Amino acid sequence: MPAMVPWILVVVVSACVVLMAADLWELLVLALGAIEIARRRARSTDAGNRVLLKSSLTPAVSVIAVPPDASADSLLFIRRLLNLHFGQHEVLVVLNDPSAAELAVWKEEFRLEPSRRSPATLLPAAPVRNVFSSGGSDSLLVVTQTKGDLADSLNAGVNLAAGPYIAVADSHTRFSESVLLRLICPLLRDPENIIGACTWSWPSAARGIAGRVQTLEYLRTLLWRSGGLSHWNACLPPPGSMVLLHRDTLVTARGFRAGTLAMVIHLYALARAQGRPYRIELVPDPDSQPSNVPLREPLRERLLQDRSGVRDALRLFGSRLPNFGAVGWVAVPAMWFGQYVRPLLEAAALVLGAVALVRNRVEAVPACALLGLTFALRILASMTAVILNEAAERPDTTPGELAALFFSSIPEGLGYRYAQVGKRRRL
Amino acid sequence: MSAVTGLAVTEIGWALLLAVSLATAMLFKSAGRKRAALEAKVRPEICESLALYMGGKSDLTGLRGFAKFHPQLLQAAILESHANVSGSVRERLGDLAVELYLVEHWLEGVHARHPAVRRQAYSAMARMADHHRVRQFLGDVPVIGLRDADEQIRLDCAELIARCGSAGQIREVFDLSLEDTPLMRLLVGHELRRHAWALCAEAVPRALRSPHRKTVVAALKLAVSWECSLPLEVSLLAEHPDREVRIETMRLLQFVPATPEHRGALQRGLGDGDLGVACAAASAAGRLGIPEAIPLLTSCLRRGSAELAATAAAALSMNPAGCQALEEQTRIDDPMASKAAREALEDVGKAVCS
Repeated sequence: MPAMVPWILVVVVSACVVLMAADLWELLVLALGAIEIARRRARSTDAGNRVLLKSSLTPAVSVIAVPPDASADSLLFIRRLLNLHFGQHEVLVVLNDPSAAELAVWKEEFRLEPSRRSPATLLPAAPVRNVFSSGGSDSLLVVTQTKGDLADSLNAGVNLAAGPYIAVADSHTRFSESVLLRLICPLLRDPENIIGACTWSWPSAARGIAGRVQTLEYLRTLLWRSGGLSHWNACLPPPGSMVLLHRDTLVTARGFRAGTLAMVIHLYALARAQGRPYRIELVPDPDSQPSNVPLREPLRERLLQDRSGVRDALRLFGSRLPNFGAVGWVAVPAMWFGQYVRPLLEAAALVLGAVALVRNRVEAVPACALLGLTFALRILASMTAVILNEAAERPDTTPGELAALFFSSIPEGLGYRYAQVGKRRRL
Repeated sequence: MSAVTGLAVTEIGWALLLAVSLATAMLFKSAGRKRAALEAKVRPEICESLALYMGGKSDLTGLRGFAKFHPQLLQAAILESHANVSGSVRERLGDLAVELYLVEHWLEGVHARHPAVRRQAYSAMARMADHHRVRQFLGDVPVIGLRDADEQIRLDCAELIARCGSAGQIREVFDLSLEDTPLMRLLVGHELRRHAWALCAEAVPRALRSPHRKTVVAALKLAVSWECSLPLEVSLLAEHPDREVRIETMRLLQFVPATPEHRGALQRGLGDGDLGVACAAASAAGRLGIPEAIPLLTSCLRRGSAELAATAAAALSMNPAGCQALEEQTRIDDPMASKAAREALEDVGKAVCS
């Protein structure tokens, strides 16, 4: 067994080198992301909203929502979508194989009656059973379909949509009432080159260590995946983002295969294959969740949903990286590393380091010190993200909240986030 | 081991740097909160002094003090009050902006490198520009701002010129809006609506004669967005080879005089091979209520497009003769046409009942 120690140490040192390289790369992208986000914040304006609301030239938008149930939260979410400020928008609610009781709740809540609107057959989707409209108006359409997955539901929504633009919001999306006005601006600014837009918002100040660790995770994802990757024209929507896409583009891409993250990756690949310029715009949308909306661990659900979206995207497109341009060689490998490789490497390095330390203390000390420094580097990266975000975003928090978030990087870096992941899985 | 030590030293240095950054950020935050608290205290005092001034008090000593120590707050208060008052009080506020050298301050701001500073300056000028003394200072600044890289500045300048610019400057705004992004065209177009008739005398016809398809489409879209009657002759554009030009022309036909040429153009649109053009023509024919279009609208019900059939049926349902034609269509074999006719008649019935 002592003969094995050098090999164990080689593995530990290699793991540390890989992790440190990844952290340094992430730091570079975080810095680029902070610059990008500061730039976008400075450029954003709501000056034209008044005209956009009134003008007949503003295109119609169909908002697709797939609520998981008929709970009070889901009903409230749909009511908030109906209250969005926009000239012409319709809300398409797709109910995936609802029970009779659930359907009765929806019918009662929104006074649903059979609609004349019939879905087109643009995209493959699970068969539609019924289409209802609310009180004879087409501003809310509720579609019931036979059991299918999320992609089926979203495609059913696209088939029924009347507007040339499709906005997708899941029930964890946080948005302001002006979100559609903000999202439509970049697509109207350059309709030929901008293939979509997605929102980001700074989450409200988290309470408790769990909330702060989730905020750190959200912050890093926003800064590297959405802001930082914009530098390589590979911006991907952050967790809980509302995404606006052109319906014809979705039809050309043959619709959704999973969630919006996978769709955006697919659109990048498609635009690249067509050899035309393409860009996804990141739009700031101040989080103005009203006080009557439940705030129980708001970020946790968004991060969980995001992890599932990343898994789907990697499952669908993980093997076709070379054809996807910057998304293929930067974004997807980074997501793959963060989702699967990093936890394994960190766990393996820790276990092997402990084994080596027990077997041969003297030889193992430098390697274990390197391991400690690797974890410290991770903590420093999180702290840097907090400072960069403070410079770029200037969130409305107190100095105490800023310090609490900064120092939450320590438990997060020491493995608290894995405890959170374990807790999520049990849930 | 030396590499590990070097790395440890680097990380410690970095941690110290982060600690300093955190302390600085906290200090800035703390200072910002103190400033906000102070501003909350000063704002009512500024509003009070401003109210006294608007009420007729001519002593500017207090306001000069605020202009020295809280220029941003005073400017915000003046602009806010300016939006809420009218008549001689509004004039007094314009005089105050000149007396307190705010206009000179804005003119300095338009040359700033930072877009946020330029935005603020242009926005303030656009809001106060209807005051003649303020306007005397501006000169060509709004026209220069029309070419600024920042979208909001261009919009503010277009708004300013549309409100109190000369005819030549308004024509310039129109020409620039045709070259700008669709978003800016949409936003600026709204401001140009009040000058639609003046622009239709020369600028719009010139744009419609342009050899560039994009310019023609942009001018047509702009004219349609004004949604008012326009003295234009566009019948020739109904035969343009580009489908987008034809579609926009059909949309515009409902806003131009119903001359025989325009009626003929509408009928040609109804028979157009492109379904998008026919759809736009059907929609326009419904609004204009042209009797000679009824046979063509009836034939649109049977062209195999559900969207065109629905639009044509809706157009027919807008007059009694059309309703009669729809009733006949409910009895024919074509399921798409009869469904569209039935639904349109149901809508008419519902509208009558309500």
